[in-house]
Amino acid sequence: VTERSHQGRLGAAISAVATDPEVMRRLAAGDTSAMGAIYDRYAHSVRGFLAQATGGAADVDDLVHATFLAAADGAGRYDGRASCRPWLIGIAAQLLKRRRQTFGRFIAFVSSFGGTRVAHADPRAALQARSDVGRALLTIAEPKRVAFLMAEVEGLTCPEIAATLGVPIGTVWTRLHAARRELRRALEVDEP
Amino acid sequence: MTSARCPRLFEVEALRDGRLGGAEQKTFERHLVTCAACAREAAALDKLAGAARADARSAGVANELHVLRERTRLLAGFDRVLVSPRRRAGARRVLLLPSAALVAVAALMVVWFGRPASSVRPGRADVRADSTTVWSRRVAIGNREEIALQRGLLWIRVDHSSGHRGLLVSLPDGELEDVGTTFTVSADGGRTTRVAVEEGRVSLRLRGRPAVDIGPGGVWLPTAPPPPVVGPTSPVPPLPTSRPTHARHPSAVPTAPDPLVEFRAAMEALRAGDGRQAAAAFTRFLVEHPRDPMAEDAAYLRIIALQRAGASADVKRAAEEYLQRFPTGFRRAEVEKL
Repeated sequence: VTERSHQGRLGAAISAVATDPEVMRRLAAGDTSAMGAIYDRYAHSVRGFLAQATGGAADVDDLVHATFLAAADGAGRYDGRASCRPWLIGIAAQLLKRRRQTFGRFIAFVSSFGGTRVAHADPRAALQARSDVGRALLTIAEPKRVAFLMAEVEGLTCPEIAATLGVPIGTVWTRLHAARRELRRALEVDEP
Repeated sequence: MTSARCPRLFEVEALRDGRLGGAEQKTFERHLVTCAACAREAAALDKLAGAARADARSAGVANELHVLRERTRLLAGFDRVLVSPRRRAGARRVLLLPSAALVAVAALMVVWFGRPASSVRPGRADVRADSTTVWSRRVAIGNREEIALQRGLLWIRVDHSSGHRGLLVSLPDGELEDVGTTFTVSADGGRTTRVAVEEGRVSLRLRGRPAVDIGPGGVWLPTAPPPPVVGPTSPVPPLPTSRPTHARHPSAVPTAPDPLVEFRAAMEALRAGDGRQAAAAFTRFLVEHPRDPMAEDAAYLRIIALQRAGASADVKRAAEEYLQRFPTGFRRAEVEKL
């Protein structure tokens, strides 16, 4: 019990029954409690997606933060759909893409000085994966993995994935097909 | 079509990805009902997706305190974004260039010299405890300072202007994160009993409860009194527990006596064969002189005293405390065996 409650700039508490579009409107207006509400609803999902997509990388928590801060930044442009989960997943996927490109360039730059051998994948991540499918996911390239997770786990349609990742829809279909084929091989599930 | 290899098998995936439409979709849906090979393929894809969804559920799992800590961090970050004026993209780009150059130079130095640049040790928080308080401190990953309070009262001041990276107080039933400057925290009987903030803000996260932000002048007290501790009497001399009363001013904390005198007194008790008294004296020494050069000896001798007193459970706890406080200590190997 706080004898003197600290209100600060926190607005009125967001009701548990407030809809996502309503919460997003308040978030766009800079309401901190709206940020808390949206985090409570979707932090688990966003974290799960990012942990799967990166193989439980050390910066997953930072990526989750960046996703929610970017969501707050773009809350005014929210399209008003009933659940903002696919929208948040889209933001997370864009951040992953940017991270991959930036990190890839940095590694290439450092390794170009010679004597630096860069492993393509950290084998520890595979060992620590939670399940067979978790380990299998780590064996496929990140762009394919992200497309697969967005479609099969998050339920985004192919046109939505294409728009989010900024790639042609044909690329999404190709990535999905390759991801399924490689996953089934890794899991030794019967292929047609 | 019921053969093992159906020529329309590829359409299963096409249907799943929304590549089929209109009449094409309808005819394939009719075919799917009658073709065993296509039905098997559809079931296999469903199974793969189901396994990935199950893995996603476990991937997102984080412990309760971690979630609360991250939530506080996010809201603090969001507050900073709201408070700080938005910079123009152009200006950001101008700043980005020299920063990137600096990062590149640092990376080059790491690669060429094969060792990381020395880190700057941040200023330590000013922590004061009375003689009955049991606590320890260490600098954790990321230069964040961590203080573990087992029981008693701590008065803490964190000077953020000296580049301090933050402070986390581990409590018997949760944790307290400093967001401001000066506060006191008490614990007793395995529970947090009081938090009082003089300046700034702290965030209190207790297991099974929502996080509480306490501002300047705020005092937190538990809703119900702590249950009485039931269990075998510890052979260690009972340390008087502090009672949460009023926030103590630093001047109210008793002045510590000469460490050498205290250490000698503890050694005398040990030599006289009074393990319980010696253990209590070494504990007092560690609380009152945590940075004294003899602190490591005192921590080790406390273990010896507890061993002689036959307090095996306390020996283990004291050994853990030694390893936590002196991770590169002289007697580490010996203590690890305990």
